[in-house]
Amino acid sequence: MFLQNKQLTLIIIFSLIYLIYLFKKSINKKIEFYDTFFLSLVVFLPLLLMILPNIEKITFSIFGVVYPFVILFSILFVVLFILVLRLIIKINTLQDQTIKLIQLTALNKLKNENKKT
Amino acid sequence: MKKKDKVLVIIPCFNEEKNIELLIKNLKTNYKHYNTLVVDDCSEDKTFFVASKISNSVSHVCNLGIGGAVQTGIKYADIKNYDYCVQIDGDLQHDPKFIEVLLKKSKQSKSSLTIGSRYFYKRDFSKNFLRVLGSLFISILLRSLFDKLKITDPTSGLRLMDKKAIKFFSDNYPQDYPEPISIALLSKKNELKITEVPVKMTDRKFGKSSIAGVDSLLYMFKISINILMIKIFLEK
Repeated sequence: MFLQNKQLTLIIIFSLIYLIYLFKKSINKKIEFYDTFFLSLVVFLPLLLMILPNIEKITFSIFGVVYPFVILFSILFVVLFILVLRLIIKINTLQDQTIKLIQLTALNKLKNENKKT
Repeated sequence: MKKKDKVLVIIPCFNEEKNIELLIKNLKTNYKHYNTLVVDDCSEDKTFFVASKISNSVSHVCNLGIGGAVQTGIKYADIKNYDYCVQIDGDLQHDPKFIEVLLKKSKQSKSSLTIGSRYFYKRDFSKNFLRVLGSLFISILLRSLFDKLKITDPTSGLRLMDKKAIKFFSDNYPQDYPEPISIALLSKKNELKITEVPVKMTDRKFGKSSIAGVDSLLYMFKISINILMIKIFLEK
């Protein structure tokens, strides 16, 4: 194992607090399910590397990299990239919808005013 | 008897309380056969109050920029089934007498987008060097990327659209840098005809232009990237 037991306990406690916070937000519909999934990988991946140290050997045979943090941060970077990409697409969609709403609200207001007169 | 064309004059404006009254009064007095629509893009002054007394006017609840404001007008033209719509700036830079010139050219050449060009015959670099240079650069870019597209004034805000263009832009009008981007979009996506007519524009009577100085260079850079992306990545 690449971490001592004390550190392992601390990381597990942090992971639990983080996951509880995340799931609470998700259940209260503050975060979407898919975003919760990606965000939870931030703790699941280090936990997986700690609990199953043999992964190091497997990753070494695939990528030729033995140091687990390199693998860990590479995967986390990919996860964060996907998360940010999803958020950007969502923001753009919302922006388009907001513009349409503002335009239609203005036009409907004029329609109603013309009807009154 | 030939049916008279329905023409809508779209006037997008932001903080133009001093100019808007003069423009609408000019249109109402000399060009009664055109309908007008003022699109107030959430002005901080009394633009909407002044405009709504003398013309059909709509007001956005928050500022969308020139692209969003013009698109609101285009949507209105589409809903009300107008044959043509003309975009004319609310800052008195465009003389309404050129609307007739645009209309005539559009009918003659059967073009969907007719642009009023300041640089049709020659470019005067002495007035606003960076702006004119930027316009020249975008013209060259458009010409080299889209075959047979010779536009001398791609940033002109005096433009006439026919029914086909109204239908297309109602759903596809660009929000950022709408004038040059819409030309590229129309060429790539719809292949509708675009032409130009020579016009004269005057300087603003009141207020300041939104793009000046170094901003012109940034404007040019962003537009170039946008046009390139449309050419390379946008599907037909």
